Amino acid sequence: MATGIRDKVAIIGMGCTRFGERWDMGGEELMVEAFTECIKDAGLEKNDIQAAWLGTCIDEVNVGKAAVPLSTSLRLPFIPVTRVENYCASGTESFRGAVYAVASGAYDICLSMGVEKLKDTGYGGLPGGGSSSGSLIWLWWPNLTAPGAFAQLASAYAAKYGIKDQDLKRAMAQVSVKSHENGVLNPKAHLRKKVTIDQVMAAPIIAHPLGLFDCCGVSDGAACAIVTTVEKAKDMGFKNPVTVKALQVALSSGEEIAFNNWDGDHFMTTDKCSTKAYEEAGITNPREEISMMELHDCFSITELVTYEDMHISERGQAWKDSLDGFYNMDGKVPCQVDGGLKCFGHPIGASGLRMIYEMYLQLLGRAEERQLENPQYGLTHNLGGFPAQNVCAISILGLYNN
Amino acid sequence: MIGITSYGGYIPRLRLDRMSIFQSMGWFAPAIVMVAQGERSFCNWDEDSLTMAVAAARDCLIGKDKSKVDGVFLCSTTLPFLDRLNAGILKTALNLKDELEAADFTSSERAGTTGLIQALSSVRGGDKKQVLVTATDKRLTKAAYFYEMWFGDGAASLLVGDTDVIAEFMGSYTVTYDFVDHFRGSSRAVDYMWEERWVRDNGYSKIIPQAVNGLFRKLSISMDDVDRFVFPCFFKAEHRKIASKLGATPEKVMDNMHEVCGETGAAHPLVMLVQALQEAEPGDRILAAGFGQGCDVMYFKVTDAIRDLAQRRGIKGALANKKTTDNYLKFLKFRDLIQTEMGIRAEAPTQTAMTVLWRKRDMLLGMVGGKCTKCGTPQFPRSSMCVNPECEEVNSQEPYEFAGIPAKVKTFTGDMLAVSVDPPHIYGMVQFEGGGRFMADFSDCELSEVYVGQPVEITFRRRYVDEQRGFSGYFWKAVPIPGEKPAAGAAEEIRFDDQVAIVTGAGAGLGRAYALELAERGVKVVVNDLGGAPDGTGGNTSAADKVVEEIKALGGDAVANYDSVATAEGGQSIVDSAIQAFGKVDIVINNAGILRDKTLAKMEPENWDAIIDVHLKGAYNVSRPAFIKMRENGYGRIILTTSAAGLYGNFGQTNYSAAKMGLVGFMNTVKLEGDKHNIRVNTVAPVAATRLTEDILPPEMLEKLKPEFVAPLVLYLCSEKCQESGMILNAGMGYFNRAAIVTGPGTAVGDGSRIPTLEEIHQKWDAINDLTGATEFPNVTASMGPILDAFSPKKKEAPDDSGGGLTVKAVFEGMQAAFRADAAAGVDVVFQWDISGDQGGSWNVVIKDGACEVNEGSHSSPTTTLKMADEDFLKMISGELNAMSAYTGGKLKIEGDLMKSQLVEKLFKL
Repeated sequence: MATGIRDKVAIIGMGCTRFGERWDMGGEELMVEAFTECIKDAGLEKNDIQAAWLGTCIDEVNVGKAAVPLSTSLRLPFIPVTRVENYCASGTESFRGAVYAVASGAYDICLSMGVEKLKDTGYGGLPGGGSSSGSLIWLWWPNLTAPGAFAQLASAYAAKYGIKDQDLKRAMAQVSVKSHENGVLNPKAHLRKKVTIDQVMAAPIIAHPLGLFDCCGVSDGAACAIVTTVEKAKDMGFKNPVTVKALQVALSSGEEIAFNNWDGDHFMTTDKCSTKAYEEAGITNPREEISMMELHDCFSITELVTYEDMHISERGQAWKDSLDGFYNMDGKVPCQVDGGLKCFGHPIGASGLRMIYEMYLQLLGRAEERQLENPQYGLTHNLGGFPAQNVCAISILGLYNN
Repeated sequence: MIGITSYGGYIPRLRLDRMSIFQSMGWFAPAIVMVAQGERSFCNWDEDSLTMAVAAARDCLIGKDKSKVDGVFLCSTTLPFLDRLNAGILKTALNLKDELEAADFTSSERAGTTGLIQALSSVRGGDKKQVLVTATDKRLTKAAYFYEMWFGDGAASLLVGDTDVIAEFMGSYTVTYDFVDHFRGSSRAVDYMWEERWVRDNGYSKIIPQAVNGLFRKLSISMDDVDRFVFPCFFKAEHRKIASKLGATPEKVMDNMHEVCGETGAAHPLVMLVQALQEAEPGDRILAAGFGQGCDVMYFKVTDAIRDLAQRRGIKGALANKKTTDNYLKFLKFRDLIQTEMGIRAEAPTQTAMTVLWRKRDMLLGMVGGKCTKCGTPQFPRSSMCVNPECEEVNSQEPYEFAGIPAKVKTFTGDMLAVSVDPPHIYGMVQFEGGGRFMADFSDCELSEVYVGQPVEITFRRRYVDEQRGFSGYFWKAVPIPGEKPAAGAAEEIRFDDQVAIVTGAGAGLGRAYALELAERGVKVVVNDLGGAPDGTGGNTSAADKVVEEIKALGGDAVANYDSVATAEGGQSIVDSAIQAFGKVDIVINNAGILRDKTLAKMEPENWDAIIDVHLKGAYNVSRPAFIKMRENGYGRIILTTSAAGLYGNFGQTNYSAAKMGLVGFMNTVKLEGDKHNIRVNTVAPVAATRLTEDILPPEMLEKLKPEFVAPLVLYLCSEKCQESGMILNAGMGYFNRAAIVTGPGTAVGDGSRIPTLEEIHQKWDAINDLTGATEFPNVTASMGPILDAFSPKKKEAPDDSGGGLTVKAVFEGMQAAFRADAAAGVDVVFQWDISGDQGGSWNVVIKDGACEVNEGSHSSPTTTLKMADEDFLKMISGELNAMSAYTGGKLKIEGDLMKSQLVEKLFKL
């Protein structure tokens, strides 16, 4: 009988680059920057690492295929290195590989790396599709972009709950305003400037009804973690390490895009994935027990409906919670405490690990200006693909004795 | 008999106002103004000759058995492929059988008529039963040219066969010359034209008459035997002249459609022929000619069967469905005649795998999905495993055509980032009636007109052009059907989760409709009916039982109750059965009623009492015990049923009118008593079929006097969504309005200290009666406002503004100081004050946790919004204007929570 991952694996070191338009750096340089911080944090030698996972997504630009870019960039000495790719969940998937590897007893110490170099495309936004998205899909899927795919949530959500366009737009704006407030406090964030609700609402439309400030940035970055078993961590002198409480992934079954029941207003994957994660972590009342979250705020509306899929806001009420400041830094469940994708941008493979990095700092009391008081459980969430067909990954972290 | 058995047409929705060409390019080519009348049709950026052909052919096949089509001819000079059977793509898009003959007719403007003649010949020869002939053209021209003015885009389709012939084919005649009025080299996009005068005088004017006269001789007929003469010629004057020379009087000549769409190339003779058929009567004889390197002429006789042809859009409908633009540059861009910067994003690779196209040909070109033979779920695309999570059967799906099935918008966006020739790129999820959905590109629509729930049509469009390889890719898109966009929130489903309702008199008519509709939405229903005759006599249980059975058959939950509402015991027992069966009661619809019509003189006490007992006392008998239960739950909705007879009077119904109006009074007070328990009470006056209405209303309106047209309003009043209380609403036939008791402004007679005389009353009679500026009062206290106001001692004149008197700003600055924290325990409200006038502005007052905060500006979610003019506001603050009379007199407008506004006086020492 499977017992889940709770408290089996500890994070003993993490690193994260400054995110942004790193014109002077490619994937290799970014990985080295993150790794240098991480290995120092863990107090280990590179040769202590027994196996590694690389999460990275887009082939058109970036580092190319296979895990070789990681093994060669870090000059890893002929150890097993695996590349994983699962849309925007790639970073969390890399972490899952490393965590499961030590939990299985196959290795003592593993590295998880996530990286993405996006700013080599020549244009804003994520690289486009065409026949690079498989030989059939592009022949019949709409000519969609990420903002357009997610913007549709807003149309369906507003229709389902009878919310006036302007009211929803304002609630979405508050999502971004709050993240920018937090991002200002983070030296590693890409965008570090406050914005007002009026600015957000008046920004040019990218994909109706999402304006510029409803969209996260596009940036380069890398983040990584070194994990080991709780026992080994204690042997190494980490008395009360950050441990993994839950690690769950849920993928669309194809039901949303082709069956008749889903209304297009939320994520079926997240709804199920969060339930499983809470169960794995032993959390029964997330609204009360989760201390902080890093949600996949690729777009304001994504974060907004995710409040509900996380079972923290009631269905149809997330927009009100947003306006009430429930998810602000001083609210009940602070969300995007590091500034989120909104301020960090979304170098795809790196994002999941960047979120875990913030939870790690907060739990260890190292988050400086952003430090929350005595956080218990931190939750991270990635959502890859599109509302109609996607990958959801959730991790819950906490101190071993919390 | 052989001939035409069906027709269809397609003209693209977009029309260019021809003057816009002249306005943009007149400086360069002033002469083009001569032909700049009306508008020309042009393809959307995602349309070409093939997509238009599919649209016309689908229109033509409406109501026809597709499996019987054994030939597909596609006629055009602008087909997307020089070597790939274009008719084969058409056949696949139409999802026709594989065992048929398909051919492209091309390289002449006459291709359309030639294809039609060939089809008719092969049917006449018995070789084929049914051949579909489709002609289409989208011809490009260089900018600022006569031909750019003359040409239009369009397509027409005719089904030819030997059964259900709507236009019998009598014969044809053809002449062929290598007359080169224009040509298009095999590698060229546009035509090379010779001088119009020569084309006109030596071409049209000589060749068409020769062919027409040839056919006349062949069939031994003359122009007298022709009712409609169809032939293309974009020289307007010459078109008339040729017809007249051939003896055709103007009313016989089909217009060349220059003003409405322009000449559609190889399609034009067929476009005009379809137009003629759409206007034709049985017996009409049609002569149709096509011109181009000679001339084809055909002669048809319209049959009675044309009356039986299923409704379709045709050319007439396509012409009516239009969007006219004067944006000439857009026209050029849509035809790829100007190069705009499309950005690096547009460089995405576009190589099509022919293997994939072959494997998925019915999916991609035919919009054919699957329907699971096990669970019946339609789905797109067809897949190996059923998508229904309850089924997931393997290899269970049979082909299922989605193209003709109505669908609705589920989600949508307008994307400014996506590469598009016509930004924003609009797309979203559409859901088909009966099941199945897909994420679709939208076309032929404006973002501002798209809404969730909007009906869409699925249409075949060009999705991409692989410029590098010269390949056009096609798929299906959704075209939203323009309609009224619902107001925000209207699309929201109103739910009644876990609610319990009592409906009295639910065995038939309105009560039954309410019960069924409530059950449909998941409400558990107590179906009460005595089962009596309309006059209230007799009684049996079958009426209520039947409705309960109906509800259960629909999967709902209900219990029957047979008690009479006319006694207190009966009312209590009805409520008890709700509590016993379902544990509570949320909704009561007092609907039970009987009639005992008699004029007053003949109205005996028993008739009077019977009506009062059922209607007036009945509502009391049921509502009272229900009210007590609702109060415990802090929620309730009570509906009373009144009648126009009570509200406005009806001969012979004194008893009924009195009872019905009595209910209004009952409501007015229940409204006040229920308010703080979230119990809302409203009254509905259903418009029903009576002898009176039967005389006034036409039969089609009488048909609409069904209970189903009343039920939605009643259900709305029963819902949590409805926060109104104390309303009287007329409902019937889909028309709804509100009736209200209003009070005129009135006048004081005398000074209030002495008793007025009746002479004074008479003198002021008009002012007393005047309803100008009449208002409604929420309760009796409010109704006293004007009286108190009239006789309260007048305050001193407000000090002049110059005198440094009270200002609006100062009032708000002082509001914090005037706040009474002791009176604010447990109060959590936001008052938004919007003051108009010179001193106007917005202030919000937030009261929470015993503290008060006054801010300038608007609050995002005020509890109560109070709106006043600055003058009135100051008067009210200084005590000169009574707050209640300000409200009742319309000087103070209150939005949001009305009751909370009464706290203002408590919370502030103003």
